[in-house]
Amino acid sequence: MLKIQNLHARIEAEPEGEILKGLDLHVRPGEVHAIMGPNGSGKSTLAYILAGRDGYEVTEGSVLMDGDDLLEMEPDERAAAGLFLAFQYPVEIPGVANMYFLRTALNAVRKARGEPEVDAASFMRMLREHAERVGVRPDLLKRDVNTGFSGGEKKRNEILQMSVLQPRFAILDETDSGLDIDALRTVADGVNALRGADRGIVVITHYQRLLEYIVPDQVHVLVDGRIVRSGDSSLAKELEATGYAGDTAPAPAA
Amino acid sequence: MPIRHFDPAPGYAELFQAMRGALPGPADLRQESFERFAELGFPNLRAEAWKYTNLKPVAELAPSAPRPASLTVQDVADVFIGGDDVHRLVFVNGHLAKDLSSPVPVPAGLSITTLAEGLAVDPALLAEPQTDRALTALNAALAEGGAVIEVAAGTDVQPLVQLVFVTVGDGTTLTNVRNRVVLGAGARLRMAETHLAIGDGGVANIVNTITVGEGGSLDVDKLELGVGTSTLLAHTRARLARQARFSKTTVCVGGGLVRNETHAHLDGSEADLHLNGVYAPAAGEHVDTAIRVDHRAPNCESNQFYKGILAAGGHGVFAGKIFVDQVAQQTNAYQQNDNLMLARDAELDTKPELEIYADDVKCSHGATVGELDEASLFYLRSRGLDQAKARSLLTFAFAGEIIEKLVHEDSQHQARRALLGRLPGGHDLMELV
Repeated sequence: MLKIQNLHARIEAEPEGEILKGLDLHVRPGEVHAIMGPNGSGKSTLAYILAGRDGYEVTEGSVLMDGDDLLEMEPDERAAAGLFLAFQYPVEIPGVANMYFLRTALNAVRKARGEPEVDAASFMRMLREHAERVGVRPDLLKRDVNTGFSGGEKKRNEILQMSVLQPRFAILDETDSGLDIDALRTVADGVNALRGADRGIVVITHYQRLLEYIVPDQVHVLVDGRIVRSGDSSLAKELEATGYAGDTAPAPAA
Repeated sequence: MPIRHFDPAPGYAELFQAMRGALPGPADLRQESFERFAELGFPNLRAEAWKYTNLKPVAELAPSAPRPASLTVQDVADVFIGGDDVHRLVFVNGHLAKDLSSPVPVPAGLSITTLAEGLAVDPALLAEPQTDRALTALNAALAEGGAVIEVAAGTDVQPLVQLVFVTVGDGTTLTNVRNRVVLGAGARLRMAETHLAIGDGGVANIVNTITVGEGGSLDVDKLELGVGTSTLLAHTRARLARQARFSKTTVCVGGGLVRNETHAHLDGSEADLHLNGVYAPAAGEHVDTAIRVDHRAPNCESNQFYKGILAAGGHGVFAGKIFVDQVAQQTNAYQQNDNLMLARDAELDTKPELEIYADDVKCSHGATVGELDEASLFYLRSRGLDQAKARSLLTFAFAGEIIEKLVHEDSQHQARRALLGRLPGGHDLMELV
C-alpha cells in the first residue's frame, strides 16, 4: 500500500546536503514496520516528506500510496486519502478548541471522501469513547489544541486524533519520546487497536522500548539516509544490545 | 510654514446653509462651529496625527444632506444585540427611526433622550469638548442626531443600551452624530454601539463624549460593519473620575475609510481604562486607530490591546500615545499591538508613543508584525483542512483573544460572524460563531 523507491531528498534551504539518499520501503496492507536509526539519519525528514511539509525537495525517486503518486498531493489531499502523521512535536494552536479541531478534521476528511459529515451530538459520543480509551482527560477536549498540554498529553492527543480519523496509513514519528511507561502502554494500545488487515503503520523510534508493546512485522535500520538493514522484530532487540555502531552507511553506488 | 490642511470643498458651506435653519440647538454656536471648521480645514498628511490617513477624498466630497430613509426591521435586525429588555435607539442617517427602536420603558435612574431633546435642556452640549479638532467643529455645526444617556449616581443599569447608526446612501451622504454618556458616582452601564453601512453608505462623522463619575463603570462593545465605499470618522472623548472604570472593545470589519480616535483622560486616582480592538481591512479598505491616554492622577491603570488582520490590499494604522503627567505617580500603562499580515501587499503602520513626566511608573509598549505560522498551517493541513480553511481558522483564532473581551455574547457572535464572513472559506467555519 505504501511503496517508496530510491527516494532522494534535501532541505530546500540547504541544497548541498542530501538527507535521504536512495531510500526504499514497501509496506503491505496489515503490516507494521518500525524504522530505527541514530539521530540525524533522516527519520523525521522521511515522516515530513510523506505528510507533505513544505521546505523539502525530492530530487529523485517515487512514493506511491495505493498506486497514487503521493508526492503530487497537497497535505490535506494526503489526509483525505487516508494518510496520518503523529507528530514528534505536536503544534500548539491557541484560540482553536481541541474538540472543534477534531470534528473539523474528521468532517474535512469525510467530505473529501464523499462521506456524510458527522453531527455534533454523535461526534461528541464517539469522541468521549475514544478519549477515554487513549487516556485523554475530558477537560483537554475543551481546551485549545495542545495549548498548555504536557509532553505526554500532547502525544496522547495525537493518538486520539489518529483513533478518531481512522487513517488507512499511519506514521508515528517518535511518539514514544518523553513518555512514561503508563503513557507508552496507552499509546501502544491505541496503535494496536488500529492494526488491521487493510491498514499500514510505520513506527519511527529511537528506542526499542515501544516495540515491546507494538510488535512490528519488520524492523529497518536507517543510517545516513538509507535503509542499511532489515529484519523481523528480533532485530530491534539486537540493536538495543549493540547500538547502531555496526551499521555504517554503505559506499555510494558507483 | 507648510500647509497642514485641505480646504473643504464648497459643498460643505452649501450644505451648512441648506441645513442650518432646521438644526436643533443654539444657532450662533452652529455658526461659530462652522466658521471654526472652515478655518481649520481637514488635516492633511503633514499633520502628524494624520500622517497615514488621507482625508482628501472627504475634503473633496460634494456632501449631500442626511435624509431619513425608510428601512425595515429585517434590514437591521442582524446587528441587534440582546433580548426584549434592551434599550435600543436606531438612527438612520442620523435620524431616529422610532419604528426600528425598542420602546422599552427605562428604569429609574436611567435617562435616554435624543440630541435635540438634550440640547433643549443643555444648549452647551455641542460646545464640548473644547478642541481645535476640525472634525469636531464640523460635527458641532451639523450634528442632528445622537443620544444623550445619563445614569444617576448609584444606579446599576441591568439591561443593555444599544445605539445603532446606519448610513444608507450613494456614498456622499454626510451624517454628523453627537452622543453624550454621563455616569454619576457609582453608576454602572453596559452599552453596545453599532455602525452599519447599507448600500454605498456615506460619510459618518461621530463624536462621543463620555464622563464616568467616581467609582462608576462603563463597558462599550463597538462593532463597525461598513462597506468599501463608506467612511466612518469616530472620535470618543472620555473622562474618568477617581476609581472610575471604562472599558471599550472595538471590532472593525469593513469600511473604505475608518478612523477610530479615542482620547481618554484619567482625571482621578485609581481610575482603570481598557481599550481593546480588532481591525481587519480587506482590499481597498483603510482602518486607522488613534489613541491618546492622559494619566493626570496617581495610581491609575490603562491598557491598550489591539490586533490587526491585514488582507491583500488592506491598510491598517495604529498610533497609540500614553501621556503621564508629573503628578501621576504609580501609573501602570500598557500598550500592545499585534498584526497578522495575510499577504505581501498588505500595509500596516504602527507607532507607539510614550511621554512620561513622573518617575515612579510602569509603562510598556510592544508592536509585532507577522505572518501565519507555517508549522501550525502544516499541522492543520495534515489533518485534512485545505489551505484556505487552515489559514482562515488560524486567522480567526488570532482575533479570538480580543473578541472574547466584548461583554455581550451577541456582540461576540456578530463579530465572529462578520470576521469569518470575509475570510476565504470562512463560511465553512461558521459553527465557530
